[in-house]
Amino acid sequence: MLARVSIRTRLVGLSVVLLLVMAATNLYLTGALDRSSAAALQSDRLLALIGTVDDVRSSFADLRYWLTDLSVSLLTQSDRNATAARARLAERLKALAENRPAESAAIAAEADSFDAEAHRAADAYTADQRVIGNSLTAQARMHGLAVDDVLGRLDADLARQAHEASAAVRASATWASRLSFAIVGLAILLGLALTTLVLRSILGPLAQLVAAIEAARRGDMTAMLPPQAPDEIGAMTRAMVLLRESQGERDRLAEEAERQRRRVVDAIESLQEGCALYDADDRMVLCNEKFVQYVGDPERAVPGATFLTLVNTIVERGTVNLEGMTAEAWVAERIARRVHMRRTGLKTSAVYRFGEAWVQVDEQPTHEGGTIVIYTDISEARRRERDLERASADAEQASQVKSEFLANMSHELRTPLNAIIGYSQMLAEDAEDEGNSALVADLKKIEGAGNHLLALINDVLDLSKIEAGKMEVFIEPFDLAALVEDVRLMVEPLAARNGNKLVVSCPPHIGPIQSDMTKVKQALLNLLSNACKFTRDGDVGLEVSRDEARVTLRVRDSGIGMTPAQLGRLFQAFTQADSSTTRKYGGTGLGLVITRSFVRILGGDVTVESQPGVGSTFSISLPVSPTEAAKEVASPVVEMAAPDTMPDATLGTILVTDDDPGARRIIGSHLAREGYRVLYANSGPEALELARTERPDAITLDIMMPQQDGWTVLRQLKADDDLRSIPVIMVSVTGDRGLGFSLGAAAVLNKPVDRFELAATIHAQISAGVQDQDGTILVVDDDPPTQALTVRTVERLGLTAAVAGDGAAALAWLDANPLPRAILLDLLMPAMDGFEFLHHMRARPEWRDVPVIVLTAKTLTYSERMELQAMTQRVLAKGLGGYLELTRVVRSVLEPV
Amino acid sequence: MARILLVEDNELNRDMLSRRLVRVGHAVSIATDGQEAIDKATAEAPEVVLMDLSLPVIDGWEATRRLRANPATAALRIIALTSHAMSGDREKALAAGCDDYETKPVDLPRLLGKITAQLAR
Repeated sequence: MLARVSIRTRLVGLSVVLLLVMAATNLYLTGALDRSSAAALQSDRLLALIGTVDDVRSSFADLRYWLTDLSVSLLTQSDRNATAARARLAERLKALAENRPAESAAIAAEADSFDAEAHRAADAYTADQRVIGNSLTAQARMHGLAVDDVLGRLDADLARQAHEASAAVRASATWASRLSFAIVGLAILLGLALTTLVLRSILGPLAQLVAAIEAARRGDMTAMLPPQAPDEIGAMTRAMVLLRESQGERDRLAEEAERQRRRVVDAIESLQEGCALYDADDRMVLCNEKFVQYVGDPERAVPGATFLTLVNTIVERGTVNLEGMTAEAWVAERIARRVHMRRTGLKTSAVYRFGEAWVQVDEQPTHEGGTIVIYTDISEARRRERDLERASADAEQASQVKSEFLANMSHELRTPLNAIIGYSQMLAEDAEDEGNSALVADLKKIEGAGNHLLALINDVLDLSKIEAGKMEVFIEPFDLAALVEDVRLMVEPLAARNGNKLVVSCPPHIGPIQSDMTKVKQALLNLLSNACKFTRDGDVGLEVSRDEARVTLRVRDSGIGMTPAQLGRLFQAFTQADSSTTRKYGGTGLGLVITRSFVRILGGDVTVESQPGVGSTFSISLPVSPTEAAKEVASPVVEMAAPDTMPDATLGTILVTDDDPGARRIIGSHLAREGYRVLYANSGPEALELARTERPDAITLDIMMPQQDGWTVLRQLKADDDLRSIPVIMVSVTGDRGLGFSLGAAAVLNKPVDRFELAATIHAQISAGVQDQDGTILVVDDDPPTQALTVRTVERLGLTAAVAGDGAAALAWLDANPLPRAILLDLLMPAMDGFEFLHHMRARPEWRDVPVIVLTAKTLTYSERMELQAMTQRVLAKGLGGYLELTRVVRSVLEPV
Repeated sequence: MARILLVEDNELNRDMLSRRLVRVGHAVSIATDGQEAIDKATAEAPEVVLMDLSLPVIDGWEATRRLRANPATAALRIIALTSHAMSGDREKALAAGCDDYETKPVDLPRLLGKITAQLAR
């Protein structure tokens, strides 16, 4: 009940009640005192009245005396005295009359009668009438007695009154004191009761609350709480309840966090890899058992251990193979790697040997600024990779041997074939001269068989070249309509032989395309001759169409057609629709394979639709220019694309001038990949302006441009004293070497530009006069067979190869020797891997400009590619094609043609 | 007709081709290696040299370069006999200084056309 009001109200109420009780008691006591003082006043008045009565008595006595004396003496003196007494009595009676008028009047009357009787007695005595006098005196005495009687009654009455008044006063005082005692007692009792009640209403819940807080401090959240009343303690209780709830929530969250942590720990514990998480201060937060094994000391590999401690422990416990490094150097290298990762925010990766195992250690920054470290045992992967590298190197060699064998073989086959065909032709001529027609027919069969054999050899050779990636392509602009007309003339006799009608539909103004004319022609001839061969007395059609980017050549026939199964085998070597076809229709069975390969090399494709008995349609789709092809086809897998400009490229600045954005981009990206800074101009005037402001180290110039053609721009450049010395390389489809050189061009290149030719030409122009270093190439690779293959490749180029087994050895070699002309670098190596080596190497100013070509079988991540792109000239994949490519790349990096 | 120096190391082909050339009226002399080719070309000043490229002693390219380097023989008309097999042979032949080339196996009418073209220059 009390808890409903606030403690303050309660205390104020208690004070007010106590004060009121005290005030009431006081008031009452004051009243009682007032009343007893009034009673006292009454008795004072009675006393004064008794005095007055006494005065009356004495003055009447005086009067009686003097009147008696008079009656005796008859002296005038006595009469005067009696008169004086009579006056005093009158006065005193007046005073008495104020309180007791009746008694006063009675006394005055008796006194008057006394006086009158006395005086008459005196008169009688004077007159000596003794008896009369005596009688009168007796009468007077009667009046005197009456006065005494009145006075006596008055005295008695007053004495009674006085007694009564005093008794009343005493009784009143006694009552008042008793009552006040009772009231004070009651007030005290009431105060005690109220105070106890109020204090209990406060102290009880407070003590309970304090106990609960104390319990909460000990962590016990279950202690009993006082009820949540609306007062202050209620408020505190509610706060306490909230605290308990939030504590409960916190406990729940902590529990959840712990569960999560355990889950993570369980998860990483189940990994094959060693795994550890560091916080932003490089203290280990958690790790798994595998990680502890790598560290080698369960005492030290505990949460809270610093990175430095763990690295030192790894070295001290000797779990890692230092590969000849000192402990300090190894630790320093580890720390440098961590610092590098932190600075760049990029994942780092290195391979170390732990006992017999090869372990890749990846470090990656986390979002919270910490680091996650993964130790992966890559021994198996590494062994497989080595096997793969060896296998692909072997395959590479085998493929080269095969190509060479095929080339030699076909040459060796061709020589006797040459004689066979030649002699059979000679003999046929002789036989014709002699008119021996039977002999002529046989000799023609020998010649035909020879020619068939020759065609086979040529096709097989083409195929082997295509397979080896050695098929050469000569891109030139040519008139497609003219080529189609050529083909028509060649095919017409074939069509006629089987009674077919050849219909060619080609818009006369289809215009020029840029491609390999010979290959396009061969592809078209192959398809058309097939169509004629497999069609009898039907139609063979050729339709040519073109859009912005592509031309389509569609060869249609109404011949035997093919089933879906036959279509499936169509582009496989040595398969015609079925084996009987060859006997019936002839041909090598290689034509379609070669046709499709040619078209694909040129950036196009061949598709086929066919129905048995109805006919077939073969479609060749070709890009109208290599620029268009480049737009469609991603850059080759082997080489990564470099950004168009590299801000820190030190090789020089090249201004690329071309009005065709595609051509500009191709040339630019070639040059950027070589490490040049590239500027672009899309017209002659812009090129001149940029040449003046930027002073490029070389300029490439297209010839066919609107506004000003390349020749005009070249003339202007050479006429300018300031710009004359900048070498200009003319790049065009219509290159005229003579004119170019006579106008002062440094070189004239044909479009489409061969990347390596371009690089070599630019390099030659820019580095003209720069001292060549000695012809040594540093090969950094830890795998002996790969090493040997790379060294052979280098030596075949007429260069000397030096070999280092890992990054550290390579750095040592660089320290001890003159600068090599280039470095061929493997990435995955023990101790110091390729990335590490690059960081060290690029940090040394004198080594920074040595070109580095990375040879790797590793699948690169995006960040690794970016990193390599910034630090190397080229990245080549090991394996098939890689070593042919290597030859060309090394040449382009080193030789100015 | 014309005086032709045929440089060819393979006996059968040499015999076949020389006989066919003689039959159409040319005067043919023979060399079997690069060195002999240089010697005979210098001595006989033929109107046309048919130069096989894979030759013993000195190969066809080198022989051509030497002939071109010598002012006395620099103006000779030289047609290379190349093989389709060896990629780059044609380019190398032209680079070495040959005026034209004919792919082996020889197509006689075409070769005769090329000889005529060279003689007409």
